[in-house]
Amino acid sequence: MLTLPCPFCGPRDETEFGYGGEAGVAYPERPADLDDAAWAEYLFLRANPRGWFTERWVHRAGCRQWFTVRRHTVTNEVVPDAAAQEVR
Amino acid sequence: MTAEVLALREGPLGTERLDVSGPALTIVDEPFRTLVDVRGTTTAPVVDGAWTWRLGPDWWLVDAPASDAVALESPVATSLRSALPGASVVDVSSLRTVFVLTGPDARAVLAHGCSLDLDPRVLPVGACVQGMLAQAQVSIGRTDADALRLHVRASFARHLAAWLRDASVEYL
Repeated sequence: MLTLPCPFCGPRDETEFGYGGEAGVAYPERPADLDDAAWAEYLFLRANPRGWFTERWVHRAGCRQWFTVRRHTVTNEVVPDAAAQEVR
Repeated sequence: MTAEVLALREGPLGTERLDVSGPALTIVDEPFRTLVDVRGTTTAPVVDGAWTWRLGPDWWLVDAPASDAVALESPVATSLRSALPGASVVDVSSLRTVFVLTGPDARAVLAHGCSLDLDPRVLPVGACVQGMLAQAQVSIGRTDADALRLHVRASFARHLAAWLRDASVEYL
């Protein structure tokens, strides 16, 4: 089981969290101008790196805060992402 | 009139009460506490005679004695709303119910189904943690060196009461 570092509650078990996918996916500035392919790319296509991945989690059973961590997709090592904490 | 109306109240456990008692352990339910959910302020709400639990950075739970007034909402919520302008103050008395565990064995019982560290050095008197206990979401607050208060959703109360009775068998 993963242990995730909640910025408010501290390290907790993965079962207390919900997964929010890749971090930093910005909403399109002019969504009406996007064609179907570009809209589908925004909605569904995410990076799938072998290595470090920045992702969002929500502490569902705890303080209900969203936060960002960096996780290594091979080793599952998790570190808090200080720079990305501002992305709320 | 008021006493008759209040006598008709039924807690989430119905007519059966949680009443576990052993040499170093007591578990009882306190079904009619006044619970008020406060969001949007980082300063602790102040209510006389109540426990104030910090559930999140700007999220508080006020745990006050049962109100003896028949009203649409507890008087505590109204007074907090005027004291904390800009914050969201909602009476959630029927959302959660309260289980009180006292005695040196209280922590050991919870450890059967909870991975949280409830050591007094981590969870001092007045502090609160939220997490999972026996697959139910709970918040656990410490009121004394060996006294813990458990807030559980009303719909999980019967499950958790049954689980606590079972988990405490070896301490009776």
